[in-house]
Amino acid sequence: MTCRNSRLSSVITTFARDMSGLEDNQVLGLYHSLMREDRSHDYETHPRLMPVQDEHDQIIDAVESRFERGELTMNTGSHHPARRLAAARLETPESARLYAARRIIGRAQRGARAQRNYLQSYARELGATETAAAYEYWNAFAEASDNAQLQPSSAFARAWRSNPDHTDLPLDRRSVYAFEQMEIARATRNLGAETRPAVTRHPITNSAAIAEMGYDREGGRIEIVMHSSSRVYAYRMNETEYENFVASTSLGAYYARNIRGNSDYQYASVEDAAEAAVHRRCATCGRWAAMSSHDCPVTSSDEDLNRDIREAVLRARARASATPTNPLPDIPQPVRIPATNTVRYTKDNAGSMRIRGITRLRQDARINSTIETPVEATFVIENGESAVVTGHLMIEYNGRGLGYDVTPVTELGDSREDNLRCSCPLYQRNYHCEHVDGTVDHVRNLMIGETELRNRRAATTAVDSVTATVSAETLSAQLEVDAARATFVPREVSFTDDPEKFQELYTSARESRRIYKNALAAGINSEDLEYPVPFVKTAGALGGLYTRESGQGFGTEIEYSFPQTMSREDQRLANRQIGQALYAAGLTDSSRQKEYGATHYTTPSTEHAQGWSFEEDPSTGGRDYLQGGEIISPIMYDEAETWENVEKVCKILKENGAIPSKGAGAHVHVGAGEYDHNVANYNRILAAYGENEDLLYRLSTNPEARAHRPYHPYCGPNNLPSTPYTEIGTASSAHNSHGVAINFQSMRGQETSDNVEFRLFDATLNPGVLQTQIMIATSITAAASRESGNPRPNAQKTSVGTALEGNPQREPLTGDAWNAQTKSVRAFIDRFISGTGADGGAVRAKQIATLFAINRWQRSIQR
Amino acid sequence: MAILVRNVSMTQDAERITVPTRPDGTYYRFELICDGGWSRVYDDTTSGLLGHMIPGYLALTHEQQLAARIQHAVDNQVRLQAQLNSFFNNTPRTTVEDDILNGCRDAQPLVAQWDCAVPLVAIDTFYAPYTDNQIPVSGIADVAMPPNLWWLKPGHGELEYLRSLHEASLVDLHISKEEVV
Repeated sequence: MTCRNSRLSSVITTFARDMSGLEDNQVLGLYHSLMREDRSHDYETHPRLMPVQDEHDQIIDAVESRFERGELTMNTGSHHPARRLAAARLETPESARLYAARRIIGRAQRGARAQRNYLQSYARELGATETAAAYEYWNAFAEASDNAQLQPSSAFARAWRSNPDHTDLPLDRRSVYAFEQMEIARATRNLGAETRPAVTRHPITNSAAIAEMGYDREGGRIEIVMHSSSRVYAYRMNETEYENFVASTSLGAYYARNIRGNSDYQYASVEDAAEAAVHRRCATCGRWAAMSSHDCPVTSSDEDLNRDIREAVLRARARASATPTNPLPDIPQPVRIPATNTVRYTKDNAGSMRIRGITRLRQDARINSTIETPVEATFVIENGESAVVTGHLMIEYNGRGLGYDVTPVTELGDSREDNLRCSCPLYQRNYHCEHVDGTVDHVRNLMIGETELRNRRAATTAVDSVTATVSAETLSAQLEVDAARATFVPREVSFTDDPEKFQELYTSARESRRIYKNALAAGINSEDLEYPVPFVKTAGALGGLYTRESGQGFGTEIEYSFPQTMSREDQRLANRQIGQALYAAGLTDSSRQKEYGATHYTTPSTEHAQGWSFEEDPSTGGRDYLQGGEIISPIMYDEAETWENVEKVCKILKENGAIPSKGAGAHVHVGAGEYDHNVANYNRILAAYGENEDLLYRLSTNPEARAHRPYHPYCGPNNLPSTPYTEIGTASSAHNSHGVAINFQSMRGQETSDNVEFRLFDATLNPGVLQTQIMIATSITAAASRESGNPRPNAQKTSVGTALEGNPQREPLTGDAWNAQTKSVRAFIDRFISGTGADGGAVRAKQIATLFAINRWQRSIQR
Repeated sequence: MAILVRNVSMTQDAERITVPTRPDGTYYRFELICDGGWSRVYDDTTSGLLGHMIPGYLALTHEQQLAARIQHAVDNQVRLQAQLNSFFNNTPRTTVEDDILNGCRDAQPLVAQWDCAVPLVAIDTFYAPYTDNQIPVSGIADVAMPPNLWWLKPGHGELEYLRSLHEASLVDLHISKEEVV
């Protein structure tokens, strides 16, 4: 279908074609892209100002009147628009067409301009005439028009269309094909083009700093090689500036002070600098020149014909007759500014000053680089007497954005009349006084300007404040590490030394599990039963870590699914009811289930009230279960409100039929701001994970399932290197994935927002199990900053599946074999669970022991 | 007030993006893609865009906004430097250069000339003319945007700061040039 099916489109694209000079197909391509653009607009939230029919009529009226006024024109031979516009009034309007119709003429004219600019710069770069470039382009365009099979290569088309520089160009198939042919030709010609260096450098004998130097007058390029390095530094510089440079008393000092790092002389990029490094022979005038800046005196294109040829010839002659500069001229003197156009400036109570107008002075300094200007300032001193400062000030322009230097003329050799001097008694004794200083300061501030001064003062204050904040964060990180070290005290009982104590816990947990199962089988509601894994509803569940006062918190994403047996309608209803219950409990700010990732990259709340988010999660759907969603907590701390709300969320989910399926996980984020820039922290947490990988997968399994959910694609073991990471960036990148057990996606060396994500936990709707998962994650994270050393992450790795491979039939073990199988969990509890708190860490030890007892060793990744 | 649109991933249909317009149907002056590519923010003012990136920015005084931009720049500097260090992991550098690249940013890098090929991220307000610290220059190429010296510019105004973030690939900033018949 073509836009010519609509009368309005037909007439407006004809105007666009004839007024821009583009080809029919190019205009239609632009028209279609505008229509597509309109379809992407959201008119529900941004309704049109007027009904579509009214807008349609308005556009036709406008086109008619503009045509009558001669603002819109058509080529001779085109159908007269009047009849087509009359027919257009009978058409059913469509919003996308109206959108495109409003814009197509301007868009086509922009397209034609961009196309012309492209051909001009193409011709200039290759030293060809613009006519030749246009011939080449339209030839390729016609070729593509004749043969619909001719397509630009997909890689080229993708890159070309996505380049922001090509936004305005026509990007239809024929045009892009033609551009590709042009670019191929350009690359081929550049490869074979005859070139020569733009600059010939000569050794410099009178400078201790600069070894070689050369200048290209045509291209305005200077190249400098220092004694200290063989690297060539290139700058853009006009002839006057170059002459000032070579005339300076010390080339090295002048370079360091005026040229190096000065944006007035720098090329924009390395590519630009390299482009100007060679000359090509201009195909039109035969001269060697840098094609990016070549001003060819021979006219060729239509536009060039309109130039004043005499002017071009005169310019060329003037360039040709330019005589080389004497490399050893006299020492230049600063330009002396006459005492004209003076203005009186007053300054607080410091009297007044007469000096040339500041705007003029700035101009003078920018043009001449260094100037001397007369000044006269009067200060009121004791007993109503005055001190008068007279003489000259030297003002140097430091380059764009770098301001001006203002200094008094006091050098020996200057005449006394020039020196800045004061009439006060102090100056007469010491040749120095506050009035002279005050005058210099006053002029300096005037030169900089009040707005810029205010900005600089504000920036200086802000820099101090930010530096203080960052320093405080660094200090705070260290204090947190110290506090964490102080928080950890070993538990009284060591399970490593006393396996029997652990076995008591283990046996008791198994018994609790048996009683719980039997009660469920007898039909007792699970809500009325005590779950084997204890749940602590008060503050202190994490043993003194992650309190609100510590500033380091944690968060969780509770994923859930629905059983396959549920109907789609019931699934929708259940999600709606979950949303309503969460909102009614004051946890979320809306009862709606938001789209997946709605809170990604937003700053999480640290408050529970409306701080939770209820979102979709496509990963929770699967073959054996229906998609549910996820509930994301705010940043939480170890306090009663946290555990109360964790329990509340689990209850709401269970009451509405949610299940912790094989497709769902529980992700725990733990604040790790105290890791700061210390890469050893990263190595320690990875090493701790590696040593306990097999155990952690056992502990993270949903106790209601026999096996851990599939490791891939969402919770596979981390690959650990055999040497420690040396940079946090490398460590973060290597473990930045949604597919690994420990994810460093949010680890950037920032005190405030860094957090480690533990993704290996299976989903659970049991608050005790969820609390234990959080406790395991927080304990490991805290230990890494508390412990010392810089271990190799895989030094003592115990891969998941190791224990099961040692006992594949899961035979009951006793004695030494049992001790060996439980060695890792006993060591884990001793190392990570502190003896702090009223119970000396007993409940936390019991939580881990129970999870260990009711779960099983998990299979290896290969099986 | 800036309008926030959730971006779509590269694998999704780009036509799902709904580009918001002003009430009269024209485009907003600025489009900013930020938050690691997750968000598209539309506004007619640079303050509005920064208000999205820096919570509470719009309620601050001029001086406080400058401080907030500098703080934001330091946060991004740390992250960007870490990413660059990682990307250029195998690029040779001296011990001194390594210390500068990995140093804590409570003391900004003070170096007259940066010869290392690993890009050093610097913030304009920590150097002259805002402070007495000498502006570092690239020893590789003395050009406005040298490949080994990346500048964040919170001191040069809001638009310049956003542009510098764009140059450093931390955000994508687009400026509308719509022309309507």
